[in-house]
Amino acid sequence: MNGMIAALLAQDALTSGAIYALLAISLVMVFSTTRILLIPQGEIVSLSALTLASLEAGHVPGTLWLLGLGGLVVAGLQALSGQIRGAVLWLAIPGAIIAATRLLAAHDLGAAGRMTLTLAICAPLSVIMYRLAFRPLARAPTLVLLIVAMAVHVLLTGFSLMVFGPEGFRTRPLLPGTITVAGMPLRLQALVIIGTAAVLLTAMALYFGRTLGGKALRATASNATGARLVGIRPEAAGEVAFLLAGLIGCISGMLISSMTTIYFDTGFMIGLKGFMAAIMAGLGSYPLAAAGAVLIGGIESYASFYASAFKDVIVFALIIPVLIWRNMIDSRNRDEEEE
Amino acid sequence: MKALAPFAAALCLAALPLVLPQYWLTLMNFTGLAAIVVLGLVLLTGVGGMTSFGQAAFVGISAYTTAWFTTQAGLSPWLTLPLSLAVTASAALLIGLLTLGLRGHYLPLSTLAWSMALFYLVGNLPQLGSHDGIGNLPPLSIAGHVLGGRAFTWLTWGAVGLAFLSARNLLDSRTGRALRALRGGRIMLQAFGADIRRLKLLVFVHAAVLAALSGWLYAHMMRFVSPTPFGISAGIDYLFMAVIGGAASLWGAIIGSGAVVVARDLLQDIVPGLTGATGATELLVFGLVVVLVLQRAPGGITGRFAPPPRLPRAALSHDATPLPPRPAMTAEPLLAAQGLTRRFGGLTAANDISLSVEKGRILGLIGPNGAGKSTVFDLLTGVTVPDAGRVLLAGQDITDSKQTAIARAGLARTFQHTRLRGDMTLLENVAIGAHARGGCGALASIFRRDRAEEARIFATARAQLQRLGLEARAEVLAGQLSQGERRTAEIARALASDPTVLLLDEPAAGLRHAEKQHLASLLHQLRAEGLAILIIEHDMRFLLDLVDRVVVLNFGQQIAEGTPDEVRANPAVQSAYLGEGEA
Amino acid sequence: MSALLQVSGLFAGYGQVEVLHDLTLEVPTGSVVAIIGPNGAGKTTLLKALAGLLPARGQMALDGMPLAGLSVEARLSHGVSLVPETRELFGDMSVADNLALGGFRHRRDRAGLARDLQAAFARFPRLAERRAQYASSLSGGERQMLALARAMMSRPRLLLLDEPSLGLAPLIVRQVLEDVAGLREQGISVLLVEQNARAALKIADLAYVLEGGRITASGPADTVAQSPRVMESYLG
Repeated sequence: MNGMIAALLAQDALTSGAIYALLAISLVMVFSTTRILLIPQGEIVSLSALTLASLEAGHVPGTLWLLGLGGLVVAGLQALSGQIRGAVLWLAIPGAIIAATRLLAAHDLGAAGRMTLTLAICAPLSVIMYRLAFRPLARAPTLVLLIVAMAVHVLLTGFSLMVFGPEGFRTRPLLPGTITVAGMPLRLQALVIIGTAAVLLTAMALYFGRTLGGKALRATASNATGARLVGIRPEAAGEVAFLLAGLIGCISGMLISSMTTIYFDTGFMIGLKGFMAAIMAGLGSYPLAAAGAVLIGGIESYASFYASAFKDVIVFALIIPVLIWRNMIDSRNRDEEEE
Repeated sequence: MKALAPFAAALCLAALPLVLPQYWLTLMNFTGLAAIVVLGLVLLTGVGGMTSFGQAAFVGISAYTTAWFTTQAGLSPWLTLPLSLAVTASAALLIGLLTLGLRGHYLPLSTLAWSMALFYLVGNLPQLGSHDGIGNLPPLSIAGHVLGGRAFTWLTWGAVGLAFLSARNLLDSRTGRALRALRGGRIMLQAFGADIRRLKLLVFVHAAVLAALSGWLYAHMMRFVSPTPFGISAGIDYLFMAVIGGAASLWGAIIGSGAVVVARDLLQDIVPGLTGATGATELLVFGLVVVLVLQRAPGGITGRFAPPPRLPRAALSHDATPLPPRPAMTAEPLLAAQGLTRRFGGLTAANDISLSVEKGRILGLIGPNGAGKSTVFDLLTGVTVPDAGRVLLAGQDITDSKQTAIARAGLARTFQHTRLRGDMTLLENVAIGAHARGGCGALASIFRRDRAEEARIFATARAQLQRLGLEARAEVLAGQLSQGERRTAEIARALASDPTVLLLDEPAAGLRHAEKQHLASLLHQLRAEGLAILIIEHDMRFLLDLVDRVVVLNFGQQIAEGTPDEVRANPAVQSAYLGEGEA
Repeated sequence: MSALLQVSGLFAGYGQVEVLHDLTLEVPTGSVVAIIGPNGAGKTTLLKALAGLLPARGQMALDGMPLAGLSVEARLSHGVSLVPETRELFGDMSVADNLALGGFRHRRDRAGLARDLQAAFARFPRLAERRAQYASSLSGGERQMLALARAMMSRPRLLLLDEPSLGLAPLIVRQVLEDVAGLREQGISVLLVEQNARAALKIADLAYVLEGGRITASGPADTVAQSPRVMESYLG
């Protein structure tokens, strides 16, 4: 391997590492505040990528169905429990997004417009998912939550296949082309991805470190009972965590859709790699999760160079030693069991 | 009448292939194949609490084993059956040894990981036909007669029957009781000498062998194998079948498999015309159904329409004699601790604690909350290892022994927060106490070679309930017992292990006056029978009237030791334990 | 004195196990009421049921307003704040963050929150010194202070205190209990569960004795302290 290839691989590693880092951090955040392993985060990634691709092609994205139906059910449930204001909001906001999309889809909105619209369509899906699938089970054992997460993943994969079909899509990069720095070709889109990830990670760090809202999420993660005792509603914390995860998942999906072809089930694999990084961090530490993500990006890009057929075998087989290592660290720290 | 019902059901099932058209036979075959896998999953996940998304991989290992050996080595399928089972069991043993120590979420995530890795491995190995798979497998045949059509359905459902029996027999045994208590009962099980690691491995391998049986049948039914049916989505499907049927119910495994197989077939027939994309609707529907089942009917179909299954205990002889007592230990003191010290970070939870209990004596351990009593208890029972000091049980050094070894050596304990299984009867709970006194393994249980021992274990448990005056409540679910009964049940379970030394952790907490009196007379009786008893208790009056000697702790230090009268008069004790200052 | 908290016919427990049977008690406005009794009598269960952490049947009213069926957070917004035996601090967050989160329900009142924080630091100078440290690095006494100060940040009317002296050296116990007694002057009523019965009865106005999930004695604290049965069981 010469220096050029090494540099290209490093560039790939950092690009996918940046995406995995965003996902890993959102997964850690959701897990630590709600005890949910958000397996369907991968579907948010692929749905937003496919939505963006669909808007680029000038179509009305099928994701609107999910937003509309989901919003309708949430509104219905709110109305049933007497929360009329909530019900109206859950009718009005998705309704407005759907109307706007249908009006605008045929026009050329420019990249920024399409991305804003995609964000508006897909990020609320995460909150709808929390409200409908997970919130009613807030007291359930964590393993039940895991199976529900798996079921939601299957459900969304089915939906994705139904509305987008089995074909793959790729979106136009925000910045096409390459520049050459010190003799190395750099893809501009890679820089966009790494830059966006860096900005988002910084924003998250500020949110968790400086704002009372961010601290309330950390408090829920640190001690759920303690958080309730100071008046932080776990449902509210869960909703904020899912909303943030939805935003991050959408942005990741839009970023990655220009680097690789996205199929209805691509998100699952991307999400699983985010999970690996999150696991390396014991599902608890944000900086470790980001570091783990870059490591996985590296392993993946070098493995695809040396043994491309066995790239996924290597990546998944490596999870086992990571899990065992992590388990050893964790069991030193806590020794209680769950009924 | 009731005993005949299963036979009648089996007979009806056997007659079904005679009247059903081929289309329904195929559905029956697929249901049966799935049910065999799901039965293992019910034991593993529903009962044992170990969630696995990877059972399809075991099906695949077996299917590929038989495919390779029948097509490449020309072996008869009947020869590859044991081979496939053995290869799969070995793989499960290896994977289990590596991963079953993982806790919480890590275990299910690891099943995703290794099944994905295997999937991509097989799909990329040209020796195994890569993504195209291996074709032209021989059909199953007996003396030249190919087993197709009805015969294959009978064979499949015969295998379902065997799988069902093996699972049911295992649950209704010494191993099964431990398995049923495994979820959240780790600490309690270890305190009665059960080897958790072995237990987990056992049920993991059992589930894998059932999956292997299904894989072998599948390979020779389709006569073709490829990676896809053994991928992660198939693994998720099996789990969904278990959840839909009722994850903790053996009948649920069969019902859930049938429901999913039939529903999928209907969806594939009807809906694609509406949407165009094959497979999309079934994914959507199953995802939705599982979410709804877990939200609205966590017991699945069986839990919805039938009461939670109360395990039918096969009739055991009622006049069996209790298990033989262990040889009496003579080395005094029966339990001794010398200079026990344990630090947690900067905090010294126990500092240089020494105590001893002789045969027929009761020693009390008192001190305010946070004084280190629980730490001492944990050090004596092997839950934690001391930083310094020794623990001797009848002269034998058990300082570094594991909890299970200490339990087997004759030390039994009760728990301050009672650890009874609410979904098991009082008698079964007490029988867990005798776990280490039995010797029959899982195979003996599966083949019902354990009945004589089982009868003696239950006779032992019954005898302890009689001794403590609870025999009338033997068949009540432990979840329905009163606080006083639960405390007594804890003691009965400890006694069922035939201990030499009995450790009681706040046995009177939450008891009313009359119940305390009853407990005191019971403990007097046990002392008279020669037991050495160590008791932690908060209620001073109760404790001081009961014990022969007392050790007083405060802030991890041993501040006094002596007879109750000496301790009562000790000013240091008064100020430390009884309140501040002016005493 | 009118009753701030009125409880009658209260049943509560864990799962199928009922721990409290038909409890009736009152906390008059501006008083300290002590609950004493042996371990396992249901003292902690009572406080958890009042705070809304455990399901309970029966009547509970704060200033005449029914609490039954309200969530922990809703009860907090009516002024019921629990300091549990286990403290439940945010161990991996700083002392200052713990306190700030204590005032979470007043988050829109930024100025008031800053004032409350200054007041807490003035009241517990020890915590001011350690404001940047993780809560998990505090000693037992400091944790207790932090838990109390955090609860005060929610501006409670009724403070439910579970074993404030747990694990503390006698000297610190005295100080903590003096702090508790001082709450009365700020118009805060206290329901105090304490195993150190002698110390608790000394600062309390009223006392209830809880045994086996039932109230077996009650009255003015000094009367309860004189009762021979209580003296023998809990005072030695």
